[in-house]
Amino acid sequence: MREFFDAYARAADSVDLAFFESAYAETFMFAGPAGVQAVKRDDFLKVLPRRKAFFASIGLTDTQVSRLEETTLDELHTMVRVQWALRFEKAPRPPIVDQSSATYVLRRNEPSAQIVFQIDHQDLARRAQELGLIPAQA
Amino acid sequence: MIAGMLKGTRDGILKKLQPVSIHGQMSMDVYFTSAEDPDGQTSVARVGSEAVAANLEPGDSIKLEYLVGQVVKVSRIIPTS
Repeated sequence: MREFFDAYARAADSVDLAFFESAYAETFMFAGPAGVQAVKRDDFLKVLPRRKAFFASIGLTDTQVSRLEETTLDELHTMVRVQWALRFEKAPRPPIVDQSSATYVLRRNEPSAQIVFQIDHQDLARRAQELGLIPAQA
Repeated sequence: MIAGMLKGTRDGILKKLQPVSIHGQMSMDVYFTSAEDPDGQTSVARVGSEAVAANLEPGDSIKLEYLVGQVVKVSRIIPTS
């Protein structure tokens, strides 16, 4: 799983759509502070460049796995909680390394595995606001 | 409320629209509060300007559509009465 999520981090930094196409099930559940929804992988792939542009605009330069906890649920499913270290560089401020976390349920789909459920534990836009990476309302 | 969440939408009250140029590409910072708590904490979403309804003004009721935590569309809620 560590290998999978290290590859995920590299793909996030480079917007590697082929990786994400293989890493997510055709339809998956996504939950976050804003709500819960079933997401079609094709719709997710369409929004990834915009998501990358948003993160670039707030100075995200590097994403790395800082901690990973894996729980086998059954023969087919594994739950993985990943703590991500996000590095933001926005001159003239000094770089910031912030931690965020997400939980994924992966279904074994030989030879690899695919994400069928993802829970983001933070609202990253709100966190960016708290860190001063998006201007507060005037 | 639950139905809205399942559809990936939130209703809000627009507080401010701030155009932002990111490497020449125009985006909008959309500052809004929850429709259920108009005087509560202001949130912000950075959205492609093409995905924001035209002629929005502060005080407008808006619908924000989310996909994987990212706001992908902002539209005005037209009052029905």
